[in-house]
Amino acid sequence: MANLSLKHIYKIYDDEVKAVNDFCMDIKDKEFIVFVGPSGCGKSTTLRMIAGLEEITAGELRIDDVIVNDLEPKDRNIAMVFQNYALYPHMSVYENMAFALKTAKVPKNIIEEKVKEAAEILGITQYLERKPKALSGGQRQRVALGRAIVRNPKVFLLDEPLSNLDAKLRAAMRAEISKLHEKLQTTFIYVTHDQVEAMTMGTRIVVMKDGFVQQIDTPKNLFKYPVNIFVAGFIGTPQMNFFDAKITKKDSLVRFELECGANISEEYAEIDKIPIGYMDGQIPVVVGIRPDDVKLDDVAYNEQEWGKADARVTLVESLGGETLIYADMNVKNTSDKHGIVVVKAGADSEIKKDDIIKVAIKKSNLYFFDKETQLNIKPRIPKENILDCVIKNGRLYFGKQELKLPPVFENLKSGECKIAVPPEAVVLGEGRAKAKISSAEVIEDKVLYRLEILNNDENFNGAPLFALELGKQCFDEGEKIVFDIDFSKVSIKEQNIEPIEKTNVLKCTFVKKRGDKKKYKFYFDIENQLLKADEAICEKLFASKGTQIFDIPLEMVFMPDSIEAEKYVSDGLDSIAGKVTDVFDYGMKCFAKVRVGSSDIIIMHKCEIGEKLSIRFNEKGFNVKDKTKDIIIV
Amino acid sequence: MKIKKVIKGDAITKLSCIIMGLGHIFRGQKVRGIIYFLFEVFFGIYIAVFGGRYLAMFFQNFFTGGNVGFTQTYISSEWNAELGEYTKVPGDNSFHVVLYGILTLFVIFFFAVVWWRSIKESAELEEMKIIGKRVNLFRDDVRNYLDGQFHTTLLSLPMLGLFLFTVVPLVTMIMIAFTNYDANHEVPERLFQWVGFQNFTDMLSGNSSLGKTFWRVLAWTLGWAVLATFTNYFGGMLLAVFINKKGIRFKRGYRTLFVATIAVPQFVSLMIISKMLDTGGGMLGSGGGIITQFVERIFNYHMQFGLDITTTRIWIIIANMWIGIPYSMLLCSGILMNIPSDLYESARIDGASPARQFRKITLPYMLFVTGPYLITQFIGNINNFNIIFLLSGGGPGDNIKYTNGAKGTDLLITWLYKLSLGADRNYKLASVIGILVFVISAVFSLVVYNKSSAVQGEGNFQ
Amino acid sequence: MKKSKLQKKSIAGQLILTALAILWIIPLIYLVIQSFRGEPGAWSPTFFPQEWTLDNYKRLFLETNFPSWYLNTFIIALVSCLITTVFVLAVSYVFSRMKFRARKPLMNVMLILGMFPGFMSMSAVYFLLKILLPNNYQSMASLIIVYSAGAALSYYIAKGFFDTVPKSLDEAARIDGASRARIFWKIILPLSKSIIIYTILISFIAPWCDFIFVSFIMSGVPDTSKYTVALGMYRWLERESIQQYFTTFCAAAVIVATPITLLFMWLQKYYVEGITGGAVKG
Repeated sequence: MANLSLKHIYKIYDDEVKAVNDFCMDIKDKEFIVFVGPSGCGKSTTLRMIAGLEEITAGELRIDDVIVNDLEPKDRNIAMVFQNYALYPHMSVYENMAFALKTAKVPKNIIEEKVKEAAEILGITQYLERKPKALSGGQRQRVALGRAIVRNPKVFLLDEPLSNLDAKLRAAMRAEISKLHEKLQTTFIYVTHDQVEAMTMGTRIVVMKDGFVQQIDTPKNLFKYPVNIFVAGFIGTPQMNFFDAKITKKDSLVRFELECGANISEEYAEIDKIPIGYMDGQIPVVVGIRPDDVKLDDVAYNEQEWGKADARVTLVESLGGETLIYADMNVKNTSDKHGIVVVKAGADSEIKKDDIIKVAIKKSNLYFFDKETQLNIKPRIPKENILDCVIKNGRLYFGKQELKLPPVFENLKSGECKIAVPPEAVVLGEGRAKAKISSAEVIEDKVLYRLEILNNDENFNGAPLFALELGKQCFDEGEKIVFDIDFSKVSIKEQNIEPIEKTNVLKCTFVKKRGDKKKYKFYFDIENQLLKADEAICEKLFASKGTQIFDIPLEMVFMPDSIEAEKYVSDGLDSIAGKVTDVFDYGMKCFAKVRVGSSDIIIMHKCEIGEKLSIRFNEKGFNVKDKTKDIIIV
Repeated sequence: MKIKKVIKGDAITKLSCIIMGLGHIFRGQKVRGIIYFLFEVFFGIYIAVFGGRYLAMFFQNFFTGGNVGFTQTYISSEWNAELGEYTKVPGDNSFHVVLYGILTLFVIFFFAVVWWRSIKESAELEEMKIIGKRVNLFRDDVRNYLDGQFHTTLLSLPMLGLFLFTVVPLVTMIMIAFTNYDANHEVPERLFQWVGFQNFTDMLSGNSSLGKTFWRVLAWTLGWAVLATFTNYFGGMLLAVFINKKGIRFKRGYRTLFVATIAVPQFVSLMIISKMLDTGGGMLGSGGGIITQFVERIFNYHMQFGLDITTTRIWIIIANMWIGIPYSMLLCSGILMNIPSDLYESARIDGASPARQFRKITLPYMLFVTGPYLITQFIGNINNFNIIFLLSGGGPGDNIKYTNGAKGTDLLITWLYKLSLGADRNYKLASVIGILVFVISAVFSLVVYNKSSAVQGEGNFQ
Repeated sequence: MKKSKLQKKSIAGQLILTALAILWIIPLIYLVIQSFRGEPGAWSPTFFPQEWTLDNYKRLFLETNFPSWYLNTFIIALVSCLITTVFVLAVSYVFSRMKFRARKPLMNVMLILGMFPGFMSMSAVYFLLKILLPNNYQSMASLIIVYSAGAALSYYIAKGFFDTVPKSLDEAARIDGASRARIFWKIILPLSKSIIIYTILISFIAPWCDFIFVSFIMSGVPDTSKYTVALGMYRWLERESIQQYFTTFCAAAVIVATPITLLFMWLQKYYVEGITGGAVKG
């Protein structure tokens, strides 16, 4: 019965070891959230911070909109189940379950009623008089659950509750905990290192590694759209097969050349979400293949959408119901690298070691990662479009389609270049360039359009243009439309052009000043200029740092478009003054470089060089960072 | 940082530096503030009527050397008919000066800590009020002392006891080592003086008879500690291995028998052994303890326990084995049972003989596990008062080699005892010895601890 | 053949052990036997007395101060073991469980304090007691203070025990809403039976065995009825009185040692747990 909100949660030990970094998440009521990751990834620490057993170094934790950072565990209305059960050995099962209620001085008859009720739900009524020692592992786990249930908590926290049980019992308890979640209709947060538990139980899963959140998503999306190699390898059994590879493109055919010697070809149109830069065979990539997408039957082997390869069997593992075959795709010893692929085969498979088998690989389910950054390069939403273009006379040409360059780009050198355009920088329905919508995909609250630029001549590389629009789908597939580009977001490597939008940072401190009537007012002191802090912000700062807030160096962090500016009139406490040192006119938007004290910031505002401005911060437009710990507090 | 807050604070916060608890009282923590205030008042009274004077006496000649205290007891010319002597006019008691001086220093330190805390809290409270945070009421404080601050509650009494009856006396006695407090400067009749490091140089110089005695006693103390620790440890380990051996029957019976000797109060068993070894008159045929008589009858040899230093020392070590071996046997059996049996099994498969198994498995394992125990045992033996005092009383003496009350089998600790209780009441030397014993123990533990932790760090075992 | 070799070996071992056991038990047997000796004097030429008697015991209770020593020691032991146990448990729980800034420094200071010979500070303690109990400083109360005030220093073994109690129990109880005090009282203490018994045992026995502190505190007290057993019995064996009191001493020793030995044997298990736990913990 509770929403949780974790904002920029950090855990830092001894001012050095960062166990949890910038954990942000909103948990809705009745969700079953699973934190999963290898040991030491910070998942338990996060859970313990939610429980109140571990202090939150920085960040804001709300349960039902109440900040609970400084509340004792008992006041947070949570219950927790521990890995080793943590049953009180000297108390009977009944006393164990009644302890919390007794501590809260609940009347005896109500305690009895509640304990009986919980015991019934869990089927441990007949053990109530026993001591934990006399119970089996599964029964103890039930008692631990029961101890949590009787308190009727808003949030259930479970810290690897099943890892001390044997495999069979674990599967049974897994189902039971899921059922319990349905029955109790409360928020569950469950920590495990076992991805099977995570996938089967969670409505949403948080994958963590080395203190960083890797991905927060539904089990299905995690499986289908892992953000990086780690998540891809972590989710799914048997593990995904990874192969070092290079991608080359010739005309409309793309070849994945695995280093072990195997090759798979695919139409470019099927995989054009991969940035075209990867397709010149220069950047090492990693191709991932799930064992489920590899088949051994001949039918698949001969079909178009399946890639083909030969492999030598190196190991056969019979699991009874099925057989796992480990085969090396480096059959001809053409390379010194091995490419082991794991394939699932039927129980009656007669494949032996050293057999040469033909494997069929489902091309549409391949995964691609950058070997260096480990990131998925074929994500659901491409990060940017990379387009060949020609700059001439203040205009930008995609083949025959042209766009007018904004004033800031007037002095660009003419010639061919590659332009990187993020999908959200593509503006549909404006401008002069024409394109056809070849497909559209609704992703949560956004629509991803795939555009084909019309009238291409030979100079154009033919890459599609992806555009991301907020809101409902308003163009249909096949429709022809015009588009424009928000040039403030593009980068052109050859001409050293970067997106202008960047995070601005201003050093500041938080000060109090006594006003009239002895009432205090609070300000940010930014480069010796005072900026009034409004009440909501003060409240948040006080909540997370207490009186310490006056002592620590802070940073104000904001985006160029999140603040307002106007012509300078006079010094005021609700704005700070700055002088424009440079202006950038992007046509659709104008930006200005403004000097505030000794630092420069970029703001979105139309003005002239030398002009003096008053800059206002609206309430939601900026973050405040604790500079000593490098942590965002508001 | 905190000072800045106080300086930047309002008048009340600033005043709180002088009147403790003022800020608390004005900002909603009345009870806490009153407690602070009363604390300050009591402190003031203490210093004014008592502590200040003693502190002045304590420090007046501290750095220059000289009297500890202002006035000496003197005999006035008035005749006291009742006592039949001239009235004594009491002067200052030097020992009290040291004791109360130390106490006062501690009280001032404690006050400073509390004062600092109170002004920090005061500044904090001001800001809490400003940002509108709720301040804790006394109720909350009490609850807090049963929860978050429970350690303060639990520690208060034990630490008070420790402070009053261990720390203050200890520091006082350490200071006594820098005075000439002895029978010639007995309080309260006379004042004693600060003498700086005089006692230490006397004690440690190798030329004086005192220095020679000290080095002899120290040598025996260390030799004794080494011998006693190792004989007991290995004896106990062998006995434990023996009893736990396969094929030995009545294990429990044997163990109980040996344990019985631990259970009997040491002073009883030591005294009875001492009397069994007694030489009676010291001549052949003069009777004495049962063992002496027994030896005399069989070997026609009169034992020299208590007469000859070496003989006495040997018997002390033997008696100590009698006392200590069952104890370490008990300890070793406990640990032996914890040695993973697969270690032995694999050794047996490799064909290792029992002796080799003991050398290669049992011994390293025991040393590894009981390292800290050995340190405490060694230090315990350096300070093993009972066994020496009750067995031999430190004797026999040797007037040439041992002076200042020490005797041939005295340890530093028994010598310390004799110096402080004996005829010449030589407290200054007793304190010097105490400090030296501490130095020896501390150096030894530091060295061994660092060595052993280095070994453990390398993971030599297994 | 192998079996017989093993048997031979174990017979030899058995013999050696028996010999050792006899060696160890002889002084105690001698003590008991001497307490029944009829002939007077310190030395008897034979191990067994010529005349057996109970007179020594009768004399002990009727003619000497022994009963009051016994009672004194018992009261001192009882009170000081109560205080000591409370102190030790409190301090070791704090050091094992609570997090606070002064924890490490405090433990270090206590480690250093423990390295000074405990007896060194006795003179100053004596004066302090004189001030605190001006009329009564050579009394049971003084001894109780001496035995229990510094108890905090011996937290080490109990802390080692508390360290083995899983921390998740505390955490579970905290989530269940229990305060630290309640956790200590309701969760940790009930699980610490063995260490509580160990601490009680050790601190109860200490006053019975102590000679050094009591001899200092009671030095120069003419009224011997204020003594504890150790001091009183020690006086009996001094040169001047040994001829008269030796057999009485033996009888007293039997009376003192018997209950303590029985108590010790009964609670042996806890004692072993305590010392091995304390020694093994690094």
